[in-house]
Amino acid sequence: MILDAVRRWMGSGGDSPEMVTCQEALARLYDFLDGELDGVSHSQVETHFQKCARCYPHLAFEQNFREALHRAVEGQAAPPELRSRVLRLLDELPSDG
Amino acid sequence: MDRTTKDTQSFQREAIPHLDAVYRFASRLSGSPDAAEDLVQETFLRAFRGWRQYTPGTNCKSWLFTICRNVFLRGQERSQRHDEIVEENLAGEAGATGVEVVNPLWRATSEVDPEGAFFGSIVNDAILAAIDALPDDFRAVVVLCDVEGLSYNDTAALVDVPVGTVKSRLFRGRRLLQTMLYDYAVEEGYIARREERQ
Repeated sequence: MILDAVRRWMGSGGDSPEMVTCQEALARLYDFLDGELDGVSHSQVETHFQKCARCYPHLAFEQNFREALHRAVEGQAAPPELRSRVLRLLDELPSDG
Repeated sequence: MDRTTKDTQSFQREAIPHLDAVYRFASRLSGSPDAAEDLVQETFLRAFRGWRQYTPGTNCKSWLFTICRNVFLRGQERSQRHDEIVEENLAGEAGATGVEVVNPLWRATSEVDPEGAFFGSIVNDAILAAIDALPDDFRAVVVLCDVEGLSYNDTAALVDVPVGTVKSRLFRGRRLLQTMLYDYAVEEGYIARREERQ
């Protein structure tokens, strides 16, 4: 039992048929984050990252990177004048283009 | 039947809500606010003229991005820059996602910041500048997938390359961007530079 706990802590969770190996989890990290996994379920990979202390930092690293990108870009809205100008130009287009 | 009114209403309902997203995409493509505004304006005019070619209920944002990118590329004519990294990527595109399982940058920072908390310290302008500094082909897929949340398939259709190429460009684009952000974080003192290996 202690050995099992140590093994999980050390990241050899691949012993369980329900979990993927460390190598597989890391190889599929981007597909997992992108919601594009193929051939393995989201929960299998997710479980691995939740239980494997060695692999979890890799996931956190990529998540922090993405959050930084979102934070930087999502604050950018089109200037209100641009929105008004586009709507006005659409209004002015002749009937059948 | 007043087709124009009907078209205008459906366009305003389905396309106009994506104006901010198209502006963000245009900003990253063009790298300048003025050029982005022109690009958005032209994109929406073309989209409206071709509105009847759009299939209602499909991915309108992706359709608008396609128009935006086409307008941008047409404007670029033949002056598009070709980065050596892109050439290298295109030459060896197959299997790029499996090349190195452990991110080398993660390895470099793992002793001091294994979860990449330094990314959270970087100011927005520096992140935007780093995205803008990516080679065009990498920038497009990183923005479409990581920022706008498009699927690999939608991105592949939009940039007109196979899904494998999207994955390959994403892989390299993300790592290149992470390295630029790491260099910035080191310069600003957010993280200590790792000593040269051996």
